[in-house]
Amino acid sequence: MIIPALEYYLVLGAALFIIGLLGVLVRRNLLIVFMSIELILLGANVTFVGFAVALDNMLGQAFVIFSLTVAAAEAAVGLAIIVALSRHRDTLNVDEINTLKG
Amino acid sequence: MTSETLLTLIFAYFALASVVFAVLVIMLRNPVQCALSLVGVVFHLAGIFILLRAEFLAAAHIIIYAGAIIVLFLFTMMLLNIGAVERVRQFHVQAPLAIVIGAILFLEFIVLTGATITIGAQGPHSPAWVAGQGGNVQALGQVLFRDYLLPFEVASVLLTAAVVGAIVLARQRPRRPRSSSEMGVSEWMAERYEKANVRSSNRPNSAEEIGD
Amino acid sequence: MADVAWLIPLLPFVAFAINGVFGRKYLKKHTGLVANAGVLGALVVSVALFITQLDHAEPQSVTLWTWAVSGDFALDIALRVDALTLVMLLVVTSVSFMVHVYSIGYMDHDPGFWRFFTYLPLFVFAMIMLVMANNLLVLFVFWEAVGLCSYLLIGFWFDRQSASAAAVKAFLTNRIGDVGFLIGLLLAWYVFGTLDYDEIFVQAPAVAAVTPGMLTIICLLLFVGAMGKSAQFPLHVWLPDAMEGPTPVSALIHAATMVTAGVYMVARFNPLYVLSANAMAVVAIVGAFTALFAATIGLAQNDIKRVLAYSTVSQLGLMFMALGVGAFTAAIFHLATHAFFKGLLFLGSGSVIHGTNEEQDMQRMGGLFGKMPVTGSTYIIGGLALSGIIPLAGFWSKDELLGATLLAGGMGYLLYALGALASFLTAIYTFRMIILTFFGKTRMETERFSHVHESPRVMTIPLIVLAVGAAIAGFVGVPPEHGLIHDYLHDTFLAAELAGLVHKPSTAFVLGVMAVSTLIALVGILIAYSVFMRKSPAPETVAGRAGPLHTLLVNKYFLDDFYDTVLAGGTRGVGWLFAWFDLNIVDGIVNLIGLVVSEVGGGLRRMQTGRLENYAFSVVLGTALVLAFYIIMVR
Repeated sequence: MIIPALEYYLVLGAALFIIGLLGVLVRRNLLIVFMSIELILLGANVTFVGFAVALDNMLGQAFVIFSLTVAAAEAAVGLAIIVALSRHRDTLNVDEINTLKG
Repeated sequence: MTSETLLTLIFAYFALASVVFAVLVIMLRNPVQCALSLVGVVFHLAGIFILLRAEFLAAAHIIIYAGAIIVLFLFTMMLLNIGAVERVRQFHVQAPLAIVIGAILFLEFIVLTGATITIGAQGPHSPAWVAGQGGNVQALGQVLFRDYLLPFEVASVLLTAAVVGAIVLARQRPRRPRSSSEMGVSEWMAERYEKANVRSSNRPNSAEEIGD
Repeated sequence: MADVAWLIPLLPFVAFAINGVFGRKYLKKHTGLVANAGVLGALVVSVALFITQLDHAEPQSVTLWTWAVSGDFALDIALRVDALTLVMLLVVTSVSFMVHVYSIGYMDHDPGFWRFFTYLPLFVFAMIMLVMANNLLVLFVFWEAVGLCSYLLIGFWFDRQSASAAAVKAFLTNRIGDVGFLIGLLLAWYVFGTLDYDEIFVQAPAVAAVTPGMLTIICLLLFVGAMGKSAQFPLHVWLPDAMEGPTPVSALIHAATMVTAGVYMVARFNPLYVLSANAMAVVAIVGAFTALFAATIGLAQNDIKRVLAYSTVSQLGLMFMALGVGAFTAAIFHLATHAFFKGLLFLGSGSVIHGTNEEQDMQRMGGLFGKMPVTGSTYIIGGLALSGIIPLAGFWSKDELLGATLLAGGMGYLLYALGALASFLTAIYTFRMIILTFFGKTRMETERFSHVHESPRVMTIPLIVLAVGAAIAGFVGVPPEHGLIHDYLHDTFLAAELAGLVHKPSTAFVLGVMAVSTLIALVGILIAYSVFMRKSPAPETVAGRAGPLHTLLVNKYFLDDFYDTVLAGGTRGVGWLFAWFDLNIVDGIVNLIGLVVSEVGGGLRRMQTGRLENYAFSVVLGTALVLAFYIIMVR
């Protein structure tokens, strides 16, 4: 039993996901890009829990635990990269980090 | 006012508030304010989770996100001393286009949500079963430590790896001179330039030279 | 005893390996001793093997290892020990050893001393493996290996333009023959399903009964290989140029051993050849023609080594002529005696060149006998043997060979006439050479003439040994048709006898042929004597009197020029055409493709900004498009 209907939760998850996505696409500050990635993960979490409750299956909630693990690991490694990068490049501006250019 | 309406109103509040905070995260100029908005998102999502009777996850989100991850962000900002607003453009040139595409994607999600979701079979963990286990926390514990023990342990390995990786990456290393094969030509020249006379103050920005 | 056969190739190979690895830095002059020890070892084992096999030389083979197995086709590396192999081994190892000893003196001052004594044992190893091979592929491998050694040694003084050109010429000319050989080998494998000698020989009569044409083709293709290796017309052009190599090399490789590989190979495949009368006829005709052809050119050459080179071509022609009429024993007999006296003549000429400080032109020699008595007298013995004067080695073998052609009847009379004429010319050019070199008044400058000296003992002793060999080696074939070598090789060439190719001559016939041969040789010598000795004219006067004929001979019938103009020039023209096509058409297409790709890539490169958010945007855009497609098209 889920109130309100599952669709509301899915739309909420989608909204957070899209907002996170937009953050990744539009922001130039690497820290905020990482925060946006956290938003994406949160959107996914909402969807997971919503389905878990709607379907009476605890797997969805268990999966969020793993999602949290990934989020924590990602934050730790990502921030370490930021620290190393800022030491090396003196900038957190993603525009200036373009060594992938062929 | 039925409890259903009340619950819907509560959902509307938490949902709206979390979306607003999320928008603030990507809109605000100051990274510290962004981080605090992210805390707002997490708190309101915790409310959503409680609404869904997922009390443990609500608590876990607050503890892990607000208590750990966002604090980590703030620590990083403090460490790098970038709390102050940078007087540079905050948004990409591609921002308007990205917003349009994002909006289209969002609409597509809504269309797909409204029409095509095929709900699978009901799982075994009904509210009655959860209650029989003694609540959400006990139920989740049963699932996690009985059915998914191995993935859980693997997740701990992932965390360990992340810790090691973070330490290795962020460790302050003495700048050893790299061999020329490891760096690009302009980088190498910049380094020669640096060695030759000027110390870091007005050396040419190597990144600029490689770019465009 | 055949168990130790593997020692024979191994010892020279070890010498080669030691000299090749340590020669340059550590052994230096001692490489000569190492090489000599290795070859001497091979000689000793060969002699020992020969003695134990003297009574019963039935074919034996020692399988060393199996090289490759494919289905029911197995390729063994095996050493064959039979009468023919043993005769060849004795010739190869003994002449090789003499040449090795001689080379210590001859190459003494050469900076490439260690290199020389690395190549030479390698050649000996390859040659031994060639004669000991028990199947066609191993034969081919070492056939190529001796060709490689020949190339390396002709071009030994590679800083000389002419030497490296001669080496390339030898290599390329041999390639033509080798292609024939290789095709013949593949055809043999196709027809017989095996490359093993004995298995081929067993199957040969059955194949000849079914497809005689195929057998003829195989025989002819193998003979093309022999023509290349043994310098038969029209592939003979490389051998005279090969004289650019050091003289010991000319003696060993280009007179005594490697060039006889073709003769050996045809003799080895005698069970095949006797089944194809046409192939035999071709062998005989090519041989006889080459014998006469080369002898005429030899008349007009002024370079002492080139005279010998054409003489070698001529003598090899005689051997092939004998093979072609089924006188296999006579051919191998002549091969063996020729190895001794031609090796002797080459080493003698080397001694002359050494003593006169690198003079090779006979027009600037003369009167050297007094200065170099040992070289001169051994040289005369070699010359007499080559001319066929009783009782020296060349007489017995050449006489038997000519007699055999006469006995063959039919075409044999013509062959005999050609062979006899070639022998006549041989006597003339041999003594022209001897007289121009050693007798008469010297044509050298007094200053240089006074410096002429006899070679050191390390060179003259091999000359004496070989002179003894050239004098007495013929007696293994005495009495004619019933000598030691005939009994010994009887079983090997049984096929010829069974095919009715061996005729028993009467004593009167044998004596008659001997008398004619001797007469021919004596007349030839007398002519040479009267023209070049008694009147003692300058060689140019004789040349002038001969007129256009002389021009033709000096220019070797213009065959080299013909090859150069028609074959090489034509090839160059075709090459030019192809080059033009390649540069303009093919490269044009390639460049066009390249241009298109690079332009398209240049356009696409602008998308590669190197900024992750651009890439992420493309991902999002792609996702949106896929979902839109799904919503519109699928739902």
